This record gives sequence, structure tokens and C-alpha cells, in this order.
Amino acid sequence: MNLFTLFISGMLINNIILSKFIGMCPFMGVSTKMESAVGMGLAVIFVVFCASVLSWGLYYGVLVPLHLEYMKLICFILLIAAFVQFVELFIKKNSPSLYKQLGIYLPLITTNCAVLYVALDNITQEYNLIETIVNSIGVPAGFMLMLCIFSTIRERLRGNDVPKAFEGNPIAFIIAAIMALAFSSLSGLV
Amino acid sequence: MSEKKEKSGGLLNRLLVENPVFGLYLGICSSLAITTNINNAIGMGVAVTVVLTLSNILVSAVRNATPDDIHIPVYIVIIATLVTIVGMLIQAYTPSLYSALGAFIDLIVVNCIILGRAEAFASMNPIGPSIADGLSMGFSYTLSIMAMSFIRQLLGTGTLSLSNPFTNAEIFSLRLIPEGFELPFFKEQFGAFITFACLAAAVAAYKNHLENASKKKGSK
Amino acid sequence: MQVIFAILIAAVLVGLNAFLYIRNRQTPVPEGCENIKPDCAACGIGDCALRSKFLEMKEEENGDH
Repeated sequence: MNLFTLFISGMLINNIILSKFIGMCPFMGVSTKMESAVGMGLAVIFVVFCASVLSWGLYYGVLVPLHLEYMKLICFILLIAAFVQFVELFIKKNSPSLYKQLGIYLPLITTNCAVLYVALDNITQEYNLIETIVNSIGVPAGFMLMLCIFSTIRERLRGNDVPKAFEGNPIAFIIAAIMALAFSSLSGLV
Repeated sequence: MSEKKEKSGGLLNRLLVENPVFGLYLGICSSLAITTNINNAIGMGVAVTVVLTLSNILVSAVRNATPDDIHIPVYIVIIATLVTIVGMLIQAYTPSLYSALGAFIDLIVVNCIILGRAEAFASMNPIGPSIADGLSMGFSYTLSIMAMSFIRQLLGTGTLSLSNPFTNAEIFSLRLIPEGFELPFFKEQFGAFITFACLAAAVAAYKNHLENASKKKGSK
Repeated sequence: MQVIFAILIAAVLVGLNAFLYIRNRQTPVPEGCENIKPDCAACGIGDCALRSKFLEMKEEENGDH
């Protein structure tokens, strides 16, 4: 598959939040301010990229030669958890400023559907290493883009007259609905 | 008698106010994606209930033996093993459900409900209450996604239908909205978000109503 | 034979997780970062390192009302 098409498809056309509904928990929780959205987005891009490439390597390097494909889920989730712990450890020791920016979102990413989904999807779609790398950068880039757009809209919404029952998360879902409608016009492009 | 009342009050409370999907916003990824028809919702609900109950049992059984420092990876292994087994069973016995649910069976592992209940409840309580907690949480999750898929299927296709996942035989199918008058956008992402928002707002309105009622009682 | 490999791989990963987890708990948060308020209302994970701070924050807010 054309790599550019893969990137655009992962980022915009089959956007992981608006088109596939994956990664909704942090999307609702961390999107009330632009700074936290940017921090969360960058952390997700980094973790998804590294964890997906490592998972791909683990699958084709260890599990397939030993005919243990069914261990995929257990190995991937443990690898992701270990990787996130490692990154947090590394950042704590070496860069306090980076910890301030990204470190607080790292525990939230361990059980984020997005990381596990991208890792599993690379295997299901049988991508080779280059396609895995491109997909694993494109998809979380789309996540970050949607998170930033969403947070700007929610910032504007503060102080507006939202009905009492819709305050907080329900109005956020209405915003997401309209965004999904806008981006669904791109489907069928590839 | 009073224990029974407490339990049923607890169940109603669990269903409406502490609803895991619409009240606490746990496990929303799957509840948005697969609720296009009632079959999928029931299948997913049953799968999550089974995994939740079994993982509660296992976590409760090993809760005293695992050192506190490494309890998270151990719980993750337990849940991932259960999900792999349940996924294989679904693939073997109900292939139509497997192809409909797709990747979301594997994503039950990171469903916030399961790890959250394991940590908040099962790791501190014996097996009996953990089973009850797992069943009630799973039941309320199933009801929530059934409600959502009922609305989406009814308004999106105009029909309500149920089919046996083991044999693909249709159990019933009734058309409630005449052909040409249904709203197809309910089958798509836009409809999913709108339905979820309205149901979440309904639960929030009920919670506000309860708060106001108790405030009135308190001030009197 | 395969089962032994499977258990071995799982055990290695769990061991790696446990080791990194314990090391992570032991390293202190760098100074200046102790009182970052998390802005996440997002998860039921009781183990998030900042969940205790988040719960304190919530309690403060409830106390003010």
C-alpha cells in the first residue's frame, strides 16, 4: 500500500477517535485545556510509535517462530505496560521539565485502548516494518490533532449557557458528534 | 428483609446513578462502536460480564498472595488470559458475533471497568462479594449498551431483530418504523455520539434530581 | 514444549514489569513536580500515580461547596 495513503488514512480518514471510537477515555478526560491536550498528544505519539514497533518485533521475532501466536494479547499488553514504566523511569531521572510536560499522562496511556489497538492492528493487517512505522505515527498523530481541536472548542464552551444535564461530558459528546459528521465526509477518499 | 431491600436499592443505584457507562464513563470505546444492533450488544455484554466475574474471582483468590508492588502486572496477566480464552470461544462457537465485534473482543482487556473493579473491589474483598460485584457491574453494563443499541437500531434501520448467534437463525424481526422513514445516520458515528450524549444527559438529570430532592429534605 | 515456552515468555514479561514498576516507585518525583494537578477525569484506574492527588483535589472542591 502506498505509504502516504497509509499515513493520511490513519490520521484523517479512518481517524481513530471519530471513525473507530478508540481512545475515548482520555479524549473526554484530558481535553479541557490546550496545554494538557498537547502534552497528552505528544506522549501518545511517542508511546504508540515505540510500543507498536516493539510489539511488531516481538510478534515476528519471538511468537511466530515458536508458533505461539495466541499469546499475542498477553505479550503485547505486558510489553506496553513495561515500556510505559520504563519511559516514566527514564524521564523522571533525566529530564524534570519533560516530566512536567508529559510525565503525568504516562500512567493514563497504559490502559489506553489506542496503544493496544494500533499494536494489534499492525499484526491483523499484516504490515511489514516500514508500513508499521508509518501507521504507528499516523494514527496517534490523528489522535493528537483531534484532541487539540476538541480542546479548543471545549475551552470556548466554558462560561456558556449549557443546559444543566448536559454539563461536562454529554455536551462534549455532542461536539464529538458534529466533528465526526465533518470528518466523515472524507471517508471513501482512499 | 432489610438486607434484601438494601440489595435491590443497591442494584437500582448501580444501574442508574453509578452506571458504569453513562454515569462513570468507563468502557465507552466499546459501547459506542458495537452498538449498531442488539445482537452485538448482548454478545459484548455477556462477554464482558463473563470476563469481569471470572477475573474478580481469580483476583480475589490471589489477592493475599501477590505482593503489593507487582499487583498490576499480575492482574493484567489474569485479565489478558481470560480475554484470550473468551475470544477463542467466541471465534469457535459464534463466528458471526466474532466478525461483528472484531477487534473489540481483544480490547476488553483495556476496558476500564474490568481493571477498575479488580483494583477497587476484588483486591480487597473475599470471593463471594466479588462475584456479586462482577455480576452486577456486568449486568448494568449489558443493560446500558442494550439500551443504546435498541435506540440506534430502531431509529437507524426501523426494525428490531434478534438472531441466535450460535446458529444464525432469526428469532424475531419486527419493523416498527415504515420503510423510508428511518434515520440512517443513527447507524453511523454521528448517531452513536448523539445517542450516547442524550443517554448520559438523562442519567445526569436523574442524578441532579436526586441531589435536589436530598437537599430539600436536608434543609427541611 | 510449547506450553513451557509460553509460560516462560509470560514470566519474563511479568518479571520485567515488576522490576520496572518497583524501580519506578522507588525513584522520587523530581523537585518542582510534586504539586502538578492532574487534569484528568478520565479513568477508573486506581493506580494512576496521580489519582490520590486527583481525589484530594475532588475532596477539596466538594468541601468548598
